Parts: sequence; structure tokens; C-alpha cells
Amino acid sequence: MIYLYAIVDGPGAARPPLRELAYGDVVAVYREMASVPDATVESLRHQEGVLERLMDQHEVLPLRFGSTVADEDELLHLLATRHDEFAVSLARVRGRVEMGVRANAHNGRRAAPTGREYLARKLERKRVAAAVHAELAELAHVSSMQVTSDPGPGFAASYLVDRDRVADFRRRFDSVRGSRSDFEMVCTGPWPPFSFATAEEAS
Amino acid sequence: MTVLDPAASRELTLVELVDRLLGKGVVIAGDITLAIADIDLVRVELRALVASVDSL
Repeated sequence: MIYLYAIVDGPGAARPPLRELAYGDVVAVYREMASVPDATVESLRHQEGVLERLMDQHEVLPLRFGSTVADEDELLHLLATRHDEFAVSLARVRGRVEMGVRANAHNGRRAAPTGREYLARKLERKRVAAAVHAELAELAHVSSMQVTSDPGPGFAASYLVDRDRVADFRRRFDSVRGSRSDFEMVCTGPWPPFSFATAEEAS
Repeated sequence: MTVLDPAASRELTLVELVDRLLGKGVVIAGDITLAIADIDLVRVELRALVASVDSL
């Protein structure tokens, strides 16, 4: 069975046990495996490590964890049928990485005492999320933001940022976080462009 | 200035990882081993793991 890690923009990325299969300028990076690894923190971190090493030298479209095909014939068919889509996506992320921001309201784990208070908190969270997102999105080519309820009420956003502006992005985040004592907030990345790997997610 | 809570930051960072690896990226039709229900279970498991690490 072939376990797929990523689509990259040229050959020479895979070191054993990783292998690669090219279809024109689009290259799949994979590994032969007997079975799909269980989704544990360790296996997720391992996969992220593989992707980050690929990212050092290539543009990378990460595959969803657990993606497999039966054999090289099936992989070649996949590359052939989706070549143009992958090429367009690789061009969109060229020279760029994904940064993540996730925030949880400090008061989110305590139930609101009244319905009015609940609604007030919800509106305030939406307002803060929009304000934070607007400031950070200025540094991104593409961005997306969602209000979240997991692990608590808050929001999560992704930004497609030039590789050489990652430090600027972090500085902007630090300044935004400094003014928001009502939220626990983290900035993560640079990630492979998980949130911008397909056209509909990036639009 | 925000006072950072290390445990809460760790949990948020881990959720960032889980959501990206399990919930985003290129999908190959029909060959995703983890169904949506499984992903929810994984999230619950990971949450439990974070909680147990924090309590050590």
C-alpha cells in the first residue's frame, strides 16, 4: 500500500524510506506501508516533521493524514487526472507558508450566568475575532477565519504569508495579542499550506 | 499584557496540529482512511492526552 504525504513541485525531495513519483512537473512523495498509522499525537507530529523537511526545499501541498492508494499505477492515475489542479495550487503557494492563529476566550469555560450575558459574550467574541483577523490579514495573500467552540469559545484563522514575512507576521501577532488580555492566543507555523492546498479552501 | 497560561497554550497548539493534519490538506476521493466520526474520536483522545499531561 502507498501512503501519501504530499504533492511537491519538483524531483529530489524524497529521502529513503520516502519515494517519489513524477507526472510532468508535479511530484508525489510517498512511502510503502503495510497499514495506515493510527492517528496519535506522535504519528501526527511525525507526519508534520516529514512535511516540514520537504518544505525546506520545495513547494508542498500536504495530503490529509491517512491518504493512501493501492499502488504506483493508481498513484500515476491520480497525478494524471489532477495534474492541472495540483499545478495551480502549487503556483498559488509558491514562496509562501501558512501561519495559524487560535484564540480562546478566558471566560469561555465558565457558563454565562444569563442568556443576555451569553449573547453579549458571543457578540464580543465575534467582534474581537474580526478585529484581530483584519490586522493579521493585512500581511497575508489569502486568509480565512472561523469562530470555534473547540476546545472552548474562540476563533481560529489561517494566513498564507510570504516566507520572508513570517517574522513580520509574528511581530504583528505579538502586538495584537498584547492588547487582548481577554483571550488566550497562540500563533503557530510556519505550516505547509494545509488551509490553502485546494482551490475551494483558498477562495 | 496578557499573562500566558502554558497548559492552555499547549492545548491550543496541539489543536492547531490536529485540525490541520486531520481536517485539511488535499483529499483523495474515497481513500481517506479516517472517517469524520473517527476524526472526532481522535480529537477527544488527544484532548484527554493533553489533560493527562497537564495534570502530571
